[in-house]
Amino acid sequence: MVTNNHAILLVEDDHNDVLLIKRAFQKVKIANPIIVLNDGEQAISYLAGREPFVERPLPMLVLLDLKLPRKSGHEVLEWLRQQQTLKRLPVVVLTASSESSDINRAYDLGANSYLVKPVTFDALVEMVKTLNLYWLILNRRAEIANG
Amino acid sequence: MLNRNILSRTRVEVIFVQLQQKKMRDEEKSKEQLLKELIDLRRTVVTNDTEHRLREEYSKVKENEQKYYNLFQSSNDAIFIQDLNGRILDVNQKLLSLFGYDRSEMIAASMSDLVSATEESKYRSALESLVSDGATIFEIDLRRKNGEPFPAEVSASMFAVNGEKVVQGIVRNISERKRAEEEFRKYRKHLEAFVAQRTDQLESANKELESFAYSVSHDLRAPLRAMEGFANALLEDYAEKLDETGKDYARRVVSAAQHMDILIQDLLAYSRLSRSALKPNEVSLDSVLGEVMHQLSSDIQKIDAQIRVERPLPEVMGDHATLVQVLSNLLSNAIKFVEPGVKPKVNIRAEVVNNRVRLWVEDAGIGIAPEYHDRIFRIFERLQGMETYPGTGVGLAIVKKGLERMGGKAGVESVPGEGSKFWVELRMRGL
Repeated sequence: MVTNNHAILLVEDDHNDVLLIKRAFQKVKIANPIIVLNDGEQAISYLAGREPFVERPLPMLVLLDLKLPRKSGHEVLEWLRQQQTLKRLPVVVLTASSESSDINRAYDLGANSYLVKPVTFDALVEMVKTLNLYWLILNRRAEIANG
Repeated sequence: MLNRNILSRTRVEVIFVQLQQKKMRDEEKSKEQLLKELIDLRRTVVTNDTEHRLREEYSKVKENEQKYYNLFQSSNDAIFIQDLNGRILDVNQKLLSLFGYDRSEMIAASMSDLVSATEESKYRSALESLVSDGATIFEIDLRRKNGEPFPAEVSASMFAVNGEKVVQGIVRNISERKRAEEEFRKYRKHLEAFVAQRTDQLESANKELESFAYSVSHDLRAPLRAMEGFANALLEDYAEKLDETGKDYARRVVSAAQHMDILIQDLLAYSRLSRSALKPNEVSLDSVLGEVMHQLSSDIQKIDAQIRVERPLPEVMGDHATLVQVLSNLLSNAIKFVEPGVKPKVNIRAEVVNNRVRLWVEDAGIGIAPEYHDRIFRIFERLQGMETYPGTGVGLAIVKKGLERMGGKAGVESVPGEGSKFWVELRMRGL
């Protein structure tokens, strides 16, 4: 089954960042709904379709922070890439860390892209603009079985 | 020998004279008789002479033997002579005092009395190698009469007496040497343990520093994003509700947050330089500069800076990423520190002196007074007010630290009002 869903899954525990990212999406006029989850364990439950997320729509893109409560972004990524077809889901890491060990590990685990959160809001808007153009408009999606 | 010949000849002359006298006395005797007597006489003389010589030589030999025996006995080295079965034939005084036996006890002693039980096989194999090689030196634990063991070095050689092979050995007590060696080993062990402990401590300190740097990069920047983002949101969404002072305050929050972010990034870059190990590789300065120009391209365009590069630039031994950081700092300084309204002009060139490459970044900017030429390379040193020339005071500290880590140097030549010439120096490629 091809996911027709246009939702974006944002895994982020910092509420300020959630607010600012949502605001940046508004500024760029992205209509795709944003689903926000605050820790790595919830992210896995959601993607796996476990309670309470059995009826969840599959996202077309995951924006994943690395430093998360319960399970880190690296762990989420590692779990995801071991799933049957779910592993095809594009994941863009969006984090504050620019440490090369974090970057390398994310790519080793199968991240599709790695972005460092800019401090200035203008730079965030620019980043979201490019993200929209590339991942939401240009990029072709793979088939993902819903289950 | 010569003396003895002279003596013999003289003696023969005497005999000749005696014979002539006798001949005169015995003229009446027959020639045959005379000849016989002559032969007898001669025999007697010759015999006497040989005996005399032998006696003389014997006493000389005796004298010599005594001399050598005294030497053997009074030697400061402990010496023994034994046959190939290990039976002791002779020893000197020093050896006796070394072992604590008297002469007869020593001669009667068996090998197991003198060599520690665990060392007997070692001694036997040393004897075997002595037979095949003629001489050997080995270390062995020996035992005194009172049972006390001591380490010794034995240098043994072999020679023949009356066609029979005997072993002559010199025994040295090496307790002192062993003790010194043991002491040295102990010190070395102690030192190794100490170094290992310090290394552990440093490693864990380094790990702590790394996790500190991580939390700085991650956790400290999050509140900055919030400050900057929401102050911006105020300015945009509530612009009509804020008067000019309110807007000014919000803008100040934005710029302070931005400045602190740059400061954190610079500090992180500086601390990363201090702790990461750099392995110098061959690096093309042309490609480094290409990357730097690309990074700074929007700034360069914005202020319409003129940058001239005298290509080709040589290749050096360094670290690519660090060099990009270093040159990026130098070039952004060069285009920043100009009189307001003046278009920056920068010239970049390299020269080779004594197998070292010196890369110059020369600007026509405001220049630096000589008394500050050293200070500007220290961290947090700033010469200009934040309003005119914003910055963190970390850039040139990164340049200096980066060059140090790559085994190079950095410096400046400058006159106020006439621009600055910053240089970095590195080893040439392949040297």
